Amino acid sequence: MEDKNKKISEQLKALNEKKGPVNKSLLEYHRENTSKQKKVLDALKEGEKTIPEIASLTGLDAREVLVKIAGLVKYGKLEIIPAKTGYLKYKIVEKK
Amino acid sequence: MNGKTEHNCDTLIVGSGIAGMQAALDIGDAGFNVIMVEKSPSIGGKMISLSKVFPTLDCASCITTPKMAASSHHPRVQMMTYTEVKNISKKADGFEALLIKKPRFVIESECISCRKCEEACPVYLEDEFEYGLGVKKAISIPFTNAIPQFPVLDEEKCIRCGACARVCPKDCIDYLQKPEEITVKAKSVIIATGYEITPMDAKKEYGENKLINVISSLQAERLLAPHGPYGKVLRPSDGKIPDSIAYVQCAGSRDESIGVPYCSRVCCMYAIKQAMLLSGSLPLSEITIYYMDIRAFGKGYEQFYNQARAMGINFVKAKVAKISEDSQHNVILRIDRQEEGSKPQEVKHDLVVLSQGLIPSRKEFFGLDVKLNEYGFIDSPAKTFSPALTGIDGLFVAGVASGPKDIPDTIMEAGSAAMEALNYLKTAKIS
Repeated sequence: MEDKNKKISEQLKALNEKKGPVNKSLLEYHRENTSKQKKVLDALKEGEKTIPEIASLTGLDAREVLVKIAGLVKYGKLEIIPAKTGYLKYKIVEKK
Repeated sequence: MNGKTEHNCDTLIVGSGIAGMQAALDIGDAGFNVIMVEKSPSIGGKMISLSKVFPTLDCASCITTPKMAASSHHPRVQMMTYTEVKNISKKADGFEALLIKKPRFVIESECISCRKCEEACPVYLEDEFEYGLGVKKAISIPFTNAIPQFPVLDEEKCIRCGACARVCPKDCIDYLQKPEEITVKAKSVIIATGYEITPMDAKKEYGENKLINVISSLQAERLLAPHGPYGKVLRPSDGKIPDSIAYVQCAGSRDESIGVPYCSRVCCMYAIKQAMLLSGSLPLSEITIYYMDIRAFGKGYEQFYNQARAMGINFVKAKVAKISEDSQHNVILRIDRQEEGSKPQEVKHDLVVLSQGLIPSRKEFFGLDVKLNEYGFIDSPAKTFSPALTGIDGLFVAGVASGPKDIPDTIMEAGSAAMEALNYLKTAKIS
């Protein structure tokens, strides 16, 4: 494991030397994205909600909430509660 | 750049959509060696991203995946994915192609496609496979049934946290991987580079791609696909299940002003197909198709159109003059009904799909001196009798690279291109 971590660190160091440090705006985008995702997850801790409900609770744009939800559903953190009209509801996947 | 490698084959096929795969399988089955080059990380082309096909409503993925598996496992077909063709030159004994294999930053021979790298990656990005509607990670396998199942690291978006490498059980993340130069010597070449759709901002009066609930036909395909980005058809502005959906026909074809005066031949049928699928998945929604005329010739298309009418799809013969939105991002269409005495009117919909046309995927074809028609598609000197010929000995064309066509015609033409290539391989004096 130590060897593996050392190899990864060496590769990343070589990459930083070759390409320069990671772009600041990229890091900022990533931080912002993570924080918005956390807001969405926090809003859902109290129970299932629709996108407009999450948007109103978090202050995020509904469009942005949909994108965050899409990622969280794809990677198994949220599940969809089906609906025929109006808005779907989303809830946090309970860890087994 | 890493070291150079050299390969030989009977036929080099550029593109691995349904046309490229069909031609590769036909030539491989006839006992000749094929190299199929694909610029994307997976084979399958546009067809693998479609929901269903018309007029049978068969699942597109269920038809395409077996072809993808067959071509990738065929003993005489070698696929080279994530590889760009830089140049193809005609030589006395065939063709020589220069290819660049782009780095995935993953050692393919070691990768077991476990997706642990993707799970560990903390960076979420817009997913191009979902045409911008969905989300992927900075290292990800392009889509569920991609072939090959290797992840690709987006080096421009990677924050170099090392998470993917730390969880990889096979230690196959290589952040320093370089592009590889490949030379292919081929006796014949088939161009099967497919198409792009007319850009969303092609018509200024249709919102210039700034209206969030006006989507492209390919985005609509993804919304309708079983593993689509939202798990259901939702409008992008707020995730609402749309109550009212409209299709605007000829939104990127039959229009001299945008340089696409020709009919793209598939838009009427894909719009009808999507409308029928929507009516199945959203039975309470109202679906309207604004059209100039419906072109539904052959293959059961007319019956398909009549079936859609019987299902309750609204067909409105009208020109859409302008598209705008209100403060809630509802889409407003200004329409001119093609009926005597009717006045322009404004109608509102939750979601609007532009039925865009098909345009060539490239402006030039790898430096080959191939003749193009006035719209940029490869021109055959014998369109009526041998549509796969290009005017260059040993070079053939298949699929939409030679002009808009539907999937059955594409598959037939791919078979024709394979047959022309086989004839050429058997009769031409090439070593």
